[in-house]
Amino acid sequence: MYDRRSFIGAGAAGALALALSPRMAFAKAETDKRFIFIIQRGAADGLGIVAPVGDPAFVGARGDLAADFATATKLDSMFALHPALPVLGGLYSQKQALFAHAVASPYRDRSHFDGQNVLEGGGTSAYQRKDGWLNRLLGVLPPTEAKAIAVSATVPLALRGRYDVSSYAPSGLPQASDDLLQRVTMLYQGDSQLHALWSEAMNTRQLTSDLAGGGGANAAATGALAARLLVPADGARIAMIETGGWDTHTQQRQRLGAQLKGLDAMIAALQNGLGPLWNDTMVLVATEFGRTVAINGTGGTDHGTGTAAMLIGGAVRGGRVLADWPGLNPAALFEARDLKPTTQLDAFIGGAVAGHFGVEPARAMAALFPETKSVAAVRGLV
Amino acid sequence: MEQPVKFKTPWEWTISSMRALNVKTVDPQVMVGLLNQLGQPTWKPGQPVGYDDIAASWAGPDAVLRRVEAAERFAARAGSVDARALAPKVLPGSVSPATQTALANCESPAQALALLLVAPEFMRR
Repeated sequence: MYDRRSFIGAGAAGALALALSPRMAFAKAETDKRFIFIIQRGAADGLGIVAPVGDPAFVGARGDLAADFATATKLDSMFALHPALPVLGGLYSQKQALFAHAVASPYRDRSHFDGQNVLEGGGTSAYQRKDGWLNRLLGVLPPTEAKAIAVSATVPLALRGRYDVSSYAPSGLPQASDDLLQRVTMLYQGDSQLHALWSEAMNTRQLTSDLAGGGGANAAATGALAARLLVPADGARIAMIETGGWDTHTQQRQRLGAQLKGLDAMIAALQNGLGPLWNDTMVLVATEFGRTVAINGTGGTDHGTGTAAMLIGGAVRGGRVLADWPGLNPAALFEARDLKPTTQLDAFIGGAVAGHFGVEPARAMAALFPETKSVAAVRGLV
Repeated sequence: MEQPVKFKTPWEWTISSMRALNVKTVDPQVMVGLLNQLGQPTWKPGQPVGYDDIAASWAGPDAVLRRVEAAERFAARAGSVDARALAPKVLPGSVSPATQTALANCESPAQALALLLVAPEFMRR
């Protein structure tokens, strides 16, 4: 039997799958430290990645989604790591991976666009800031020759701002398919039947694309490419990788597993590619908000609030899960449905970046998150 | 000639694509696989009355996307064919101005050919 995947892979030499690869953008500053921000677009389910298996309400609330954790490695007495993350699990046991749970940005609504805008801009409400915290970080670091490299045509908001940031695309080949899809979109605009069908097809594609493509091969290629761009002495010091496909409203068990397999492969490729530089590297993985505690009617979860974030790398003081755990019993939930955030993601990011680059934490917070600078940065992460 | 109105079945779309590209012989195995992908498995209509003759049965979001993917493959193998010249030959009198513009704006001959094969007037008969 042929299936959709083998058809694409065998036929178009995976060109379409490559076109769905995560996108990257780079910035350059004078420091030996490397910092990579992997954004999870679509609201990654922290409860399904770093699962609170020790919470008495977890199995009841999560049903089928809890089954994956029956044999999963325990991180401590409360949490277990999703089994599709063996590389991350290994790094955790080597104290090079740290997870923060029940975190959230200042955003408290449920729109991906607005939530990502707050996560990347570093403001407290959507569209408040025109520049991103990753760009403002360049202003805090030793004087820069900041230049931009983006795999996509556009630089993501987190990297946009007064300091020059460039973008890098591997070659025109993988983009060809994406370009065709866009042209089809334009061509179908005047045809009501095809326009409706096409819009739906593109929405579905958005949800299943990206990180999971090629069984993790695309994600690994992206990680390896990012590492190559970060290794040279005159190369970029800060990179941002965009990943999509986290919006698991349906069939979450299968889809999240595939996503995490891709993320794990990406981290492995980064570590391999960076070689000795891994000791000076910090990788941040974060998403705009979490997902509902309860499963919905289609085996998925809906937009929520609190979620998990990760710090990975040789420089990280890992081997721990930081969580002021609010609990999953119904009375403890935010708006009676979501994991209640107890740690500010801004403070976590600010503390991590300050520690990694040796910047005074209050100064880092003021530059990166001017609207929430009164919140103390989380210390002792790096 | 009037604008085509009825959404082609996968079989019809494949045959018309092959004709447009002047392909005379095909690998049977490849065709079986292709028609499975496009949603019309050869000799397996899935119901005793045969393949459906209602446009809605064939015009699904995924079905359209699969045609676009297949069209890109066809076009990649078609060699140098100018879709702008081919369009009025395979769709006499029914190439819309929008399609003509879209073909002319394509970044490569192969891309234009792929776009022609999934143009609204080529998706219908």
